[in-house]
Amino acid sequence: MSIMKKSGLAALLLLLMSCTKVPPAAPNRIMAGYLEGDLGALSIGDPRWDGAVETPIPLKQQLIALPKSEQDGVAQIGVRAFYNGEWAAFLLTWSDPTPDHLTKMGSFSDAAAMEFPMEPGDLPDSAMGGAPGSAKPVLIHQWKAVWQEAEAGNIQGIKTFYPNTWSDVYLFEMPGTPEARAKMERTFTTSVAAENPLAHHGKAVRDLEAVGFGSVNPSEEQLSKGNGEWADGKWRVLIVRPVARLRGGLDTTRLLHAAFAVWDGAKGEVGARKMQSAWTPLEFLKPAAHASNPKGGNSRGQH
Amino acid sequence: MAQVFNWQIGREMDYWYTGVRPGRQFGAVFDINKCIACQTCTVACKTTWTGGRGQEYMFWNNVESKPFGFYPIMWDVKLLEMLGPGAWREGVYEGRTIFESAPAKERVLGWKPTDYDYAHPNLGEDEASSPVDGGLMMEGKHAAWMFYLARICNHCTYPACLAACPRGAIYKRKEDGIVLVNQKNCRGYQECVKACPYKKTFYNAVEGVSQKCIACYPAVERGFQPQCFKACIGKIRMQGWAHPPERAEEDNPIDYLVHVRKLALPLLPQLGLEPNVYYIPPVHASDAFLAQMFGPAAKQAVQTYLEARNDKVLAGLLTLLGSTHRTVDYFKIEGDEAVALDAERSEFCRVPISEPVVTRNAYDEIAQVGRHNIT
Repeated sequence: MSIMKKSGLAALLLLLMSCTKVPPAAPNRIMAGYLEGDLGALSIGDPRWDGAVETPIPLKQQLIALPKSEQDGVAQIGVRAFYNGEWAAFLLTWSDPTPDHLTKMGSFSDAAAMEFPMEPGDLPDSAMGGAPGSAKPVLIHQWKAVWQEAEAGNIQGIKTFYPNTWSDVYLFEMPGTPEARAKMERTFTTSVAAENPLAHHGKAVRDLEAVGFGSVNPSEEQLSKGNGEWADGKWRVLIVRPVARLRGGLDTTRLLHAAFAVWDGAKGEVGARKMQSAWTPLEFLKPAAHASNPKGGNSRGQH
Repeated sequence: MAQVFNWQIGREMDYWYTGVRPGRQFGAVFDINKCIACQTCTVACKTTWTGGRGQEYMFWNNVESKPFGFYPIMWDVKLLEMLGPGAWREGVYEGRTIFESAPAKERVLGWKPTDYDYAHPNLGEDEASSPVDGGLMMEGKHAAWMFYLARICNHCTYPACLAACPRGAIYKRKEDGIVLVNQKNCRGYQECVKACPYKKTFYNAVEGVSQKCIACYPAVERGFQPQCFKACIGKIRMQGWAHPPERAEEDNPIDYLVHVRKLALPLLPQLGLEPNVYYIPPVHASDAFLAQMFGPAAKQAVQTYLEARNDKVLAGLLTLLGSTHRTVDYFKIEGDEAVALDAERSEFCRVPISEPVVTRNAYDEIAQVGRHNIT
């Protein structure tokens, strides 16, 4: 798996950051501590995550829209969050004994997503905004292990699974001008030719919008970033998004709500076959005086 | 679930969407008796459409031996076992379709193949239905039998892949009934792969989308038959337009074979998809097997085929299979020739119904040698 590397400049900035004193965890409320500095360069391994409150959020099987899973997947996800005036960062953690980061026929990628309402007022249904016709729009940030592999250049192919496989020549690898070969490759990569933004080419984290079941589509603004790491039976996935967006910006002065979903590829979860949460309150803690506490407070998160 | 009428099972049935038949429906007839499993159709399709990464295992067109050949493994018998038995009474199927048998958490009754299931496209090739003991081939009709089954997407009237897609990424074209996966909108959930009972939608793991036979629509739009049809060495195929029985046209070759003569039959009609590729069943296979595979009319279709040589219209039409690369909209018989016509009923192909036969003695007195039979 690829790991997002911290640049030297980012590491220097991290040293200069200060953060909010984090109170003990409140049940079912995500509390985002305030961190100064470049949150966009925050990494999964940053030690200040240790000082962030991890809110455990229960997940239940999606049971409204067909199709549904045959079995329960991941039952709980832990969420930690930091923010500043520019970025909001979320670290999602859950147990999964097998990292499913490649897909082939009949198998699926591990994935996670978080969701925000896009309009003020009554909350929409947390399941993709509700049933078509009565749904309200939601903004979704989705990470997929297989997307991360593709972003890192690890394009899976038949030799990924069967290294000794031999296959006939690919037409786009035959002698010819680069232009001719590129055109031929495009011919045999229909999702690329059709400009499918949700196929296996692009970023590990994608911004999506939905107005009801089966309506998820890429947002015009692809601003989020992040990555995941699997170790010791756990996924830790970082999703970092700008606070401000043309659609779906966060008003950090108010109590907001977020919902989460996790797909366990090994259990055949994909699309509507998933474990999801209800709306969970999300509180942005006010900035404290600039106390340089590299641990980010006096409260340890759960592990 | 909506209620739609499926003429192949003779009754209304549940379907995910309201049924709206296209203006005209891509249709085809395959004469199983003429297939030699040369796989030219398979290669024609492969080199045209599935030469990319992630498509190595895909055969939008394949030819398998029945009863023991499958691509993917056990594609039909596995689902038939899941579906359970269903009786036919006077042309009406009294069992349940895959839509009516859908489990509580699913839209369609289906199963999901793995890469292993696709890895043996020649499994069971040329294997007969039972051991061939010494002398058996000399006993007239074979007790042991096998036949070749060429398969493409059936571009069904009620596609299971389309019903199963949660995103509506699969659509059926109103102009010709061809079923396509929208390559821009597909998210690779593989629900279509699980749902299609014929297993003719495929997942491309490199791209993360599903792909399937497109009936060579760029050719069909211009009045030409698909690649696998044009390449067929055995001349087993004809592409045209299929109609439901109430709209059947007697000079439409597909309608004539399907509705007028009831010679060409749908594959596994009891599943409920109303597939639009029709098969002339093999004359030498078990009646029970053919009934399960092509429905209750299979036995009569075999009889009709055995008598076709004495029927100028039927024999004439069958000679047009594989005789032209153009879509055959209409046909007619003129004297001892069969004529293929386009949508304006203009002639574009003419073939003799029977070739002249010359009988020669088995021994050539002039050359003082014996002759082989050549036909």
